[in-house]
Amino acid sequence: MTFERFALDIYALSFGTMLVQITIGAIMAVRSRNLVHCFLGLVMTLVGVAGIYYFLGSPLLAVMQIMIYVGAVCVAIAFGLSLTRKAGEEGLQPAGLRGFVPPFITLAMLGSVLLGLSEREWVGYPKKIDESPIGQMLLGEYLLPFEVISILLTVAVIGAISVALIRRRN
Amino acid sequence: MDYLHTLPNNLIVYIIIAHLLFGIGLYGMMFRRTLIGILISLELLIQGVGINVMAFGTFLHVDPLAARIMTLFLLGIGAAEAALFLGIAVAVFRNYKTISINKLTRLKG
Repeated sequence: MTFERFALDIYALSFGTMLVQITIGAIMAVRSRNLVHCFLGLVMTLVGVAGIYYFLGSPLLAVMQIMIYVGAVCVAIAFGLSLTRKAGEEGLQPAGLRGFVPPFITLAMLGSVLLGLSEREWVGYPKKIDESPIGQMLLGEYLLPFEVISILLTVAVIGAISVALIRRRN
Repeated sequence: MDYLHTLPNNLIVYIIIAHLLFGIGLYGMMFRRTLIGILISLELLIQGVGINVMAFGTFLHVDPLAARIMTLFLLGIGAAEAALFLGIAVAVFRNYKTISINKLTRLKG
């Protein structure tokens, strides 16, 4: 066994590990009875998704995913979890026949996407490209969406603060 | 093992994992009992959308940088939505002493 082959094995194995980690984390996040376990499953999935971004050739997005989601959103969710905890309200509702709706919708979407892709070539080699033009593009070609996102974030944060403080002000 | 080596180069793998995340998130949004559980499921759903956009942009689009920028915007929107949702959940808990969606029925006709 040559070194290249060994490296390829490790590469493929780590990719498979990411897929398994995302799947197990997502199922844990949705099926667990305890909300803290759900939260841990969410963290697991988010780290796995960062790995997927890395495999898609974008270390920038992987770092952003870790920083924004694992670093900020998850901490916010943990605070929300501890502020609104109440025993006896956790777990899932009984699904019944409605439990077939999400798999049906997902399979329909997946089927239509695969049907649309059947004419295309779907094997590619996602390689790392130079991502430094993104900063220039954000301030040039994509300036309007960038500003809209800034306004959205500001409005969301101010709105969240004012909504959470309604009772205290009165 | 040779088949495994081609796995990261296959668009179908990324699409299937994205749809799986979307489906699991949808299931959670329909059947969780509390607002925080619904928020966690919503985050999963948004992650599925992000992987999908990024995979299509990388494999099929002529300009891979556009896909990265769109995924960055998705991350930003997800963060804004999580902040607002948590604010609403805390306000609801303060007013009603519960975040169970079965008990928040004041507006029910």
